[in-house]
Amino acid sequence: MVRLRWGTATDVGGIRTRNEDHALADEPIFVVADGMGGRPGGELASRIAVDAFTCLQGRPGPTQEDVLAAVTRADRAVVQAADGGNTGMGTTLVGLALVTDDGSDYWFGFNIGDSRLYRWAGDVLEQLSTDHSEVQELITAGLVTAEHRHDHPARHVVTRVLGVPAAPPTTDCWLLCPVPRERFLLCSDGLTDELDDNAIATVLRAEPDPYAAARRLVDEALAAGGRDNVTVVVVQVEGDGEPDIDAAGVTGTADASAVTAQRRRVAHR
Amino acid sequence: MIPSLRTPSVEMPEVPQTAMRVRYRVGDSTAVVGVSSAVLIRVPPSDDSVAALWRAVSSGGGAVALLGVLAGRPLPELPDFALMCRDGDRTVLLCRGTHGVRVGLAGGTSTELAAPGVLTWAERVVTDAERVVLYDTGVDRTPGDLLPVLGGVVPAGAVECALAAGAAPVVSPPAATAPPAAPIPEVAPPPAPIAFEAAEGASEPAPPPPPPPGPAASAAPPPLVRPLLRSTVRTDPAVGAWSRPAPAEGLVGDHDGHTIARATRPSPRPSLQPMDTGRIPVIVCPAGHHNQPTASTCRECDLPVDFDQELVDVDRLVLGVLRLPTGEAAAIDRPLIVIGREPRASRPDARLVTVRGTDQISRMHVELRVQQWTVEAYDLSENGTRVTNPRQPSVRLERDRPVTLMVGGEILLADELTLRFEARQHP
Repeated sequence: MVRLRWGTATDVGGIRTRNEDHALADEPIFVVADGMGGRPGGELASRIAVDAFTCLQGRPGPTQEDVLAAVTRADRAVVQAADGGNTGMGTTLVGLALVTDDGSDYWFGFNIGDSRLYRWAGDVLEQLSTDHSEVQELITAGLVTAEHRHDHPARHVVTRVLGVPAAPPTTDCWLLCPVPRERFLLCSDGLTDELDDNAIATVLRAEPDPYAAARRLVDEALAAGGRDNVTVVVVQVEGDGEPDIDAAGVTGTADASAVTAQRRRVAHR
Repeated sequence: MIPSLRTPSVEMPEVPQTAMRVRYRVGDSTAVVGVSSAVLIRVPPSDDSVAALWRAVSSGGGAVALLGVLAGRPLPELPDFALMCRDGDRTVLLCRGTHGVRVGLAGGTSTELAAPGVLTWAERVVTDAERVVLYDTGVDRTPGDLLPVLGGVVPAGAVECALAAGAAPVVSPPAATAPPAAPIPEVAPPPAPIAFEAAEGASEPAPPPPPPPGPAASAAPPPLVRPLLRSTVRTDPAVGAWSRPAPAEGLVGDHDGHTIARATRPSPRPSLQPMDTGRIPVIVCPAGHHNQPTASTCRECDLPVDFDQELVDVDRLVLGVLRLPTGEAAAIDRPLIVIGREPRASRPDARLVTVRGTDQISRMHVELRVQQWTVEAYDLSENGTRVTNPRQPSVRLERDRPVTLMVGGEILLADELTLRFEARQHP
């Protein structure tokens, strides 16, 4: 049995007028989507993509196939919406699901685009996902050094998105065994453009509560410039023997109404 | 079953390495069996053509000579037949009417040749056959014992020819005195000129023959060529329809504020989805265990496996279990199995096996890559992995140099934990 706590926070940022990020955080599914394509396509694409995962909400023990099927549904739904005249819309999608395979629980992470999935365990922050972005390809090829990631002209050009009519997305994915007290961080690039991995690790180290950590990560991104929408989901596996807190402890929603922000302690099945 | 048939080779005298081990089941056709060729033909043994075939077979005649005997009469009178003839590395297969050929290929795959609706006969050449079965696809398999035959003419319904050359050099490399006439090729032969219609991707197999009302477990009639070798090449179509989004408005500084998508082809990567659902052909032993189509005895219980049964396609092959020191078992039923203290994988259909041990054991210590019937162990660890297969010396794995794990083999992690590969489908 894996017991989880999580928290989410989002902000439109200091410059943009619309929040094109959407998130869903409800056991066993956690996703962040960063839409693109201008008004109203970006907001619509990320919302449609996230909506494809609501059927997994509160339903224990989905399989990897269930989750990948939702990714495919999300992609097709964005393509269909684009047929209605919203050409050029698409969205990134990063997610984490607690799946059941042969009776055991596993983490199943997945990513398309340049939103990110991190794992925090043993005081080490590890980026599990690889950005599907032009600048990451240049870094991987050794043509650009990592410190120029944020000032390269191609820094916001993503190479894989949901919603491309001709090409169902190739989804990167990870299967991991849950470990007590580990944390996962899902975020849009509005966080990682402003905070480097050290700054993120500092916040995760200082804030034991997942909601407080998510809130403070967003606040620090805003303080650092907040040039883009910022969305953060923090999920953590409860340690062995830690006391349960009332499962009804849902706190308020985050800043943007688009985001389901919940903080709960739930016994898994 | 006659118990002695479990090891038919023991009863046979030493035969040349090129010889076949042949078993047959009594039936309504006639089998003519020689050293390197066999014919199953729907005529009584007294038919004139049988004597002529025997002369051709016993004198080592090739496929052309055998076909010359058969084709010496008007086509409408040509009886149904199935024929195999070895020619060096190649095996020539012919069949007509309801008589068909099933071939077990090296590597555990298999294919079939049949000629429903063909006016003349079907023909194919394969280069890596390990086992050839000539049988009447239109007849119920009559119960009866499998009988060995070294050569001759027998009333038969099916004939199995196990080709010896593939197995011989594994244990003893050819001695210097070995006749140079029959070299065992070091390298793989050129691609077999098998017309895997189904593998071309575009065309479906030809319409299947009427299903034999046999005891076969598979309900679907067998297609002309079983689609065993599916095309696995997937291509990412160009992302042509993608258009650059509208520029951002109301922004300051050099930050464009928008994530945009590149209007070009995505970087090529192997697709991870849909999950691999390829079907794998198996034959079933009397106890119900799945076996490689080339098997003559069951890998799990050693019972003899009928050679002329229908192949059954299964979704997922359970090759066995990995027995942990704790007594727990992890099924070997996925293309990738990652073993360690904190294993992880980057594909959805992997199996993660968590072992408890000291930190001498790496988080990801060793991975098994499973392809059909083959299990290969790859070391990922800091402190090393050894593999000990039955009757083989222990091998220390080197990076990127996998070792095949055999049934009964053991994996030793960091000289600390031993995992054993047991060939059982149910833990």
